[in-house]
Amino acid sequence: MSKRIVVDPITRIEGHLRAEVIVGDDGIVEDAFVSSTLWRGLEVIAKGRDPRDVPLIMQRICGVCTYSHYLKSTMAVEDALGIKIPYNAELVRTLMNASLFLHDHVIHFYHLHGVDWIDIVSALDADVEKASKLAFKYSDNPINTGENDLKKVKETVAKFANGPQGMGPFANAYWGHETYKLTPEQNLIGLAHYLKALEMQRMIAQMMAIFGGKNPHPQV
Amino acid sequence: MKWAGAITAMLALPSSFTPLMAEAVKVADRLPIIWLHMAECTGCSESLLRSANPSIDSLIFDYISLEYHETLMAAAGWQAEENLEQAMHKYKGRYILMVEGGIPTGDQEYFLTIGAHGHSGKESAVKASENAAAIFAIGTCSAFGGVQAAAPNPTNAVSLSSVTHKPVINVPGCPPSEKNIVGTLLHYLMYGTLPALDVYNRPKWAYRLRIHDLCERRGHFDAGEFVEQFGDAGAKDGYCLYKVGCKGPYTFNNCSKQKFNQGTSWPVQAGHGCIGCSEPDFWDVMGPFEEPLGDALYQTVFGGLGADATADKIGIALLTATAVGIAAHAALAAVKPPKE
Repeated sequence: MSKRIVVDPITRIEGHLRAEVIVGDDGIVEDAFVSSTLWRGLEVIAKGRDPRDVPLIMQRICGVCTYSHYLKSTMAVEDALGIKIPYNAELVRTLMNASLFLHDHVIHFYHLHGVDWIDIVSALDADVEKASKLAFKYSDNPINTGENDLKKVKETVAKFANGPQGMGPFANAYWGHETYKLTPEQNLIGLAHYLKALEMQRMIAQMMAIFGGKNPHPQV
Repeated sequence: MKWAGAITAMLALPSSFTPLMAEAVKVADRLPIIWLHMAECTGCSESLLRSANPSIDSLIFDYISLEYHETLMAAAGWQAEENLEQAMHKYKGRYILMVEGGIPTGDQEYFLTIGAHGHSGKESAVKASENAAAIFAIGTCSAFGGVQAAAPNPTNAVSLSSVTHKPVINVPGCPPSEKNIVGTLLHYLMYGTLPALDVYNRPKWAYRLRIHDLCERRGHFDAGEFVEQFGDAGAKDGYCLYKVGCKGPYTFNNCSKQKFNQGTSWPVQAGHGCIGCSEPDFWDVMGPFEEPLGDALYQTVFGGLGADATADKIGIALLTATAVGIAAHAALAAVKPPKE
């Protein structure tokens, strides 16, 4: 008999998402449904407002890819009214969009998607020296993977994982599952990057704040 | 712990509290946090990630135990729901509930559902609030309803305080700065009690003063030097943005002092007026965002008085004098926001 599997909430995304999968006895997916379980009606709210306010409203679609909705809805208003923007405005928009591009990739790759393939628990078994050398295989200038760095990462996470309060946001996950393919050393490098990237994204967001006043949700 | 001094100063505590602050956060167990996402955009979570003093990684690993946070947690589906259940059970009466997003209610309650069983957002927010030690509404959506509650409010979204009988500390802003979110947490960590609040239940240490009071462009306001339109000579000279719609005079927050992104900038510094994002119903009452409120002032929900009536009356007198002078420029908006 077919089995219905529901994954809701799907985590590490912006917003609310539900996936339902029908799996047959042979383990093959027969059907799948995905639904977003939140509706806010921003389109309805935008109707009848001052067109200059609408991009600020539309920006609130997403706080992760914050600037993209702001930019596109601004362009939509300009298209509708036949407005040509000055060259300086184009430059500032490009710079802000580039900082969003950079920021969003770091956040998405490490903090949202990363733990789907970095096994944090396996990283605790890694050989620090081996991992530090291995990092040079992937980059000539590896970041946060010196022996001391990795040792510190391991200590921080080990203390956290073995403490009485459990693993917080990393609790009850799928650690040790066969679909985690990386070696302990590779996992440790990934984990070190996860932590370093928390610091990097903060700096990248400052880039957008220079032009847009703040991030998320710049206002210019 | 080099950030302890900065935080102590921000919370307006005497500097003798600095070592105490450092001590308090070290001694305590990691503070269990349950963070729920309602009708929201995750901007407040992103803002939390920008925290530098203390940094977000030291927060997560050293000071708080982030039991449930849909944007950061590794588990999904029923494992995620199990984490929430267990945290509510294990830390009953001890956890901090932080909620991001407005809450659809009434016939529209099921415009937001969470979990395999399709419980509404309201159900999970009410359930989690029952046994929380303290409840923080993070962001304007959860504090006052936010963008989805703007007219005509298609999902009948309301604030967290409207669905729970428990006291709720509002930390509004769209999003609130990382300092206001983390500062509220550290204040609780240090005292184990709730901070002094204003009439909208906002912590006074952050929301006591008007943006206008400490604005870096305030001198230009007082001197009558205004940006008349974006891109003019006044804009290049950093003149006051009141005439192009700055809502700083009606908005209570610490942006002009603390700024955003580790003090990098804030909207007024970047050349756009404040839109009043930490005030109730700002989407409806502060717009159009690029026109001065001018005559519209008395039509606001605050009756033009804001959160601090006495100080604002003086402010209104000043603004009215200014408004007379600029009446010609303060053309009424071609399009008014829809009324309910």
